Amino acid sequence: MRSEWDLAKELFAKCMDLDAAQRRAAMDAAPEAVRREVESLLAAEDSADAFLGGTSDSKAPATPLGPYRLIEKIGEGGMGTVWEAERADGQFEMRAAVKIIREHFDTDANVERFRVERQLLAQLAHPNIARLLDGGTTPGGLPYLVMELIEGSRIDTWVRERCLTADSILRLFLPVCDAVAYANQRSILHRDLKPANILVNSEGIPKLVDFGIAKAVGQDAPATATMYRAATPVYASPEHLTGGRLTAASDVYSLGVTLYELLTGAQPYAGTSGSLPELVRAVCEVEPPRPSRLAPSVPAAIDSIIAKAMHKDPARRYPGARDLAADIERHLNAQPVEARADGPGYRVARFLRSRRTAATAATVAFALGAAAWSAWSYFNLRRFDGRSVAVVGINQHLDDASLAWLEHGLTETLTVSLLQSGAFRVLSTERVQAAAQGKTAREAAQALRADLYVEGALIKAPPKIRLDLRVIETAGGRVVLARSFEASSAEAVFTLADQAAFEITSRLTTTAPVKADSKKLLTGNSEALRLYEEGRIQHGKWNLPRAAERFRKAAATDPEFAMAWAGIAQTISWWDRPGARGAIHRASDIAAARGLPKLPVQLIQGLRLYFDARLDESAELLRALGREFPMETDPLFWEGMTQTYTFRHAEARATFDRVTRVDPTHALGWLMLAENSGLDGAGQDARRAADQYCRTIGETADNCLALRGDVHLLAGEWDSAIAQYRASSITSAVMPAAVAWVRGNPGDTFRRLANVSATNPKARLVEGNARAASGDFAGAIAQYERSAKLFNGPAMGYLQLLKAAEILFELGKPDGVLAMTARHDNAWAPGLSAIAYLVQGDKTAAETEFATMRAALTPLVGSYLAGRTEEFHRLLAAFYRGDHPAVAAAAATLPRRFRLLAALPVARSLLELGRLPEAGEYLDFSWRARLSLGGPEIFEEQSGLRVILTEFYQARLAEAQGRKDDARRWAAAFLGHFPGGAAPLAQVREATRMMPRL
Amino acid sequence: MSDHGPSEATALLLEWRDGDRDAANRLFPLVYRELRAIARARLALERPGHTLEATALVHEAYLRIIGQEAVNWECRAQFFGFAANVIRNILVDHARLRGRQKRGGGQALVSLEDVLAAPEEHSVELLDLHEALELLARRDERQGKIVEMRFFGGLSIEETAHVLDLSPTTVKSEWRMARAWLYRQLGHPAKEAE
Repeated sequence: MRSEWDLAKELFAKCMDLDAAQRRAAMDAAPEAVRREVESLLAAEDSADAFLGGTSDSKAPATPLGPYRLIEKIGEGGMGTVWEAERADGQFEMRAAVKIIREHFDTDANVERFRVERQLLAQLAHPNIARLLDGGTTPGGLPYLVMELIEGSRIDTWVRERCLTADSILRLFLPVCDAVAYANQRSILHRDLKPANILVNSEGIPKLVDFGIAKAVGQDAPATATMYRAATPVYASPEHLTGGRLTAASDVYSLGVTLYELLTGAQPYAGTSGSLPELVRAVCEVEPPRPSRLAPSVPAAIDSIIAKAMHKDPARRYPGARDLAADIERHLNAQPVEARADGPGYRVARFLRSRRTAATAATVAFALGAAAWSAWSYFNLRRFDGRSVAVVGINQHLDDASLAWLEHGLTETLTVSLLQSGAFRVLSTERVQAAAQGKTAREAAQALRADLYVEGALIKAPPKIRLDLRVIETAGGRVVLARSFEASSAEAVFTLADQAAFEITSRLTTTAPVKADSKKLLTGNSEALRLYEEGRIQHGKWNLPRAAERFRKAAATDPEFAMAWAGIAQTISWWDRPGARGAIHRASDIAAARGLPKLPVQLIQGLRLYFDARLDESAELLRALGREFPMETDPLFWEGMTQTYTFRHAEARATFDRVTRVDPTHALGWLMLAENSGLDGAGQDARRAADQYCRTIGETADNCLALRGDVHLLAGEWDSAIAQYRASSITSAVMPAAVAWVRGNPGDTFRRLANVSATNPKARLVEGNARAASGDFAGAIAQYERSAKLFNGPAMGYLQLLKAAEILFELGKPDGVLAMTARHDNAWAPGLSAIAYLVQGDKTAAETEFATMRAALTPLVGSYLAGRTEEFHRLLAAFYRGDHPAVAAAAATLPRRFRLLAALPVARSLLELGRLPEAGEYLDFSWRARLSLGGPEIFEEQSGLRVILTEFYQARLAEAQGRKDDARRWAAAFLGHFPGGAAPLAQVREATRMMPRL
Repeated sequence: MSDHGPSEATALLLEWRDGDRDAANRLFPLVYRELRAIARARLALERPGHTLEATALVHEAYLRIIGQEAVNWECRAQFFGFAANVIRNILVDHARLRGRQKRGGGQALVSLEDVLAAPEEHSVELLDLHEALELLARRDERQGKIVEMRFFGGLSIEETAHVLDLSPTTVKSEWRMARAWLYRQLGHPAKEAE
């Protein structure tokens, strides 16, 4: 036998959704006691309204409110819930928004006041104010309001999603001011102006909602004990917070705060610690940062306008919203605005007055109670300012291959959002990715020496995606923050990261949380982000062509994606420097315009200087950046690159050594450490670094084989070098031939080059070197010219033409140089002609040529490199004219970029001047560099005739210093290149004469 | 890539689900400590503009205690069901401490957020609700559980149905009846029938 309770349950379930008549029918058969119980419960339910949160999750109550039937909940806020509704009485078709206020009216007086207020509000008719249509109280005593339904989004969202310019935001804001002025004129204050109460409809028209509602429902009381209820005290004026009289100027204040936030994306007092007393104090006393400090695109006039609208003293604000609008309009029409900064006298007066508000803040603190303060100290987590953070363990559990990239994408967006907050030292994703290989998140964080790490899981929460996030102290493993965030789609990657960064910053630091906007910082296009992430993965695997291709696609998908352009530059710089230069310029222009965080902006700026060949400036900037972000390898790495290319190999070694200490998996760091150790004459260190490099990228990787070839070359192990070079697809074509030549076997060089395509410009260069070094000067010049043509670019082929010109000058044929430069449409060529004219004594023609070169080169390589090239050419001209004191003087101030290129002529001039030890240093440098491990580029600089001549001048130096054995050996080596002895070269004849003396 | 293995808490949670009451006794202090610390911190430190959400509170506790190795929502619902009971206990303890010298105006409790935002103001209603809920649970344990999970744990109908292994339809009708019963029990007047 079932109990009465069970029967009642059954009957209740059956009846609960029926109307009165149907209920009566359904209950007919039930026992009297059960029927009465169920009737009583159904009556209770009808009255229960929102009791315990209501009957269902978001389903509207069945009972209509007056003539309105609620359809769906569309919002929930501090004041109550908002529902979409429609007329239920069938009189006419209309949809509306119904706001049910979560506030009981217990007295008739309150109900009456509410009725009067809303009648007043219903008279507001303005195109930018949502009409108040009706209102009443629910059967349970909750007041509700019926308003025009605005289908659109909040103004701050609207502005952010469209990335509006400052002027567009101001134009959008004008009708808002107008609407406020209209209502103020009718003695109605809004009292709760904030972005959430300004909606923009689908036509882009802003509409104010909730006009005067605060007063109508009795919620505009001053901010003391009921402060928790006032959803957003940030927008409230000082007089509102301290219980003063509200006027139209109070609405002006809130408009000022709203405009401030729309233009900067940040709230003016976001810097306060977040406790209420402190906020009250800030609103009453602290001058917020000028908007232009947070958003550089905000003009100074707008700074003044907002400062005036937000003035602490209501009497010093615009008297009404219309005056505010008029000043904004003046600015938009490029007329001077009325707003002016406060004079010093006013500031003193305000200081005196500030003591009063301090007392008010103290009162508020007291109202909050002592318990709050003890909890503060118990659980104060806001102590992580400036600590290092690694976003290391974001994993996705989405079971959806098309979303797999979210793992990296979210790591990227969260990292950049956190960086933007400026509250932490955030480790770059490259560093973290490298360190996390095969480790747990905590191990990775320990290896990175990060104070905190962020781990997270992306989980399906249909139809949404949820991010569960934990911030953990690396030492001790304590969870200091744990939060969940939800978003509705793959686009979530942006909003999730921004929310999470905001939470992390606001909960763990005292830094003002900036509303990060990773969409704006990175890209708003998730496809572009996906491509970029794939590029990053490829880059990590040192698969540069593939990485470049991904980065290019990302930049093509979103041309405003600065980091994608930076990725292109960093990748293609290994084979296409002009292209890299273009990409980095693009990146730096976008980055500057978008306000990216400091690390990427400065890094891009450093790279821009680097690719502009402004190496000293680049190094300086990168060094400062490296000091500020000591856990980052990027600034260090590129500083090392500037040192490498300015031939400061000892410094570069130290720098790359630090790179590999910070990140032992940094393949390029090991590579450059090996190269620089080799260049610095430390063969053992080079070999060790090469071992590490190969361990990182794999023993059979092409780059490993090529580097091992370099190491053998350095050690003079020719056969091993050739074997390694042959095994690597990068070097197999040309490098074995080059080694054969270095080894002193031009015949072998020509044989090996016979298999290489005739249109391979590198092969032509190597062949030119080999021919020059075996006395076939005409053949060498032809090969160099061919190579220069094959490189086919206005800024390419300099080295080839320079080498050809050097042969001609050595042979005493400046005319030949002029004839050659006439054949090449090359930006550097006029600079070589200038040398020829100077050698011939035609200064006017030389200056014309220099001017031509400067004009052609500057747009291609920047004015710095163009200027330094000219200096170098003037040094060469002095040398070929035999003006050795001038060469020695110029050498003292020689830019590093040209130290190697000028080493041999400078050494020769010093020899002529009898400055033997100095000459010896330059000759050693010139000799060592013939095997340079600085990559093919440097190797080629010093090959060919230059190396051969270095041998000869080593012999001259040794003879002058009385080292007869050395002199004989060098001279023999030199003559060994010319088996027939027939080369038309003065040094060959001289060496032949020299030999019997030794 | 969590650095924690399946935690003690997870194991206890699973044992509790499988009917081990002792597991619940051991899990309780863990969850209680964490939830109370979070709630207190939140109450004191909440920034303006944040709203205090009960579900966020439980999410945070969940992540702190259980971590991320248990990522399915079933496990989460299980935890939430448990946390609902813990939260109820925390709030009731708190209200008892405050004493009941202030007789409230018989307002109906609308949301847990209200209680969390101003626990002092709602201590009377909360204790009344607690006692009524005890009565209800004695009469119908399942309905008591449902109210606890829905109101104190912020669980949706579906989640509650999952934890209690019921159909959502059942949970819904039980919830509505329990709510009506409590409303009447707490002496709120039914409005006049039209």
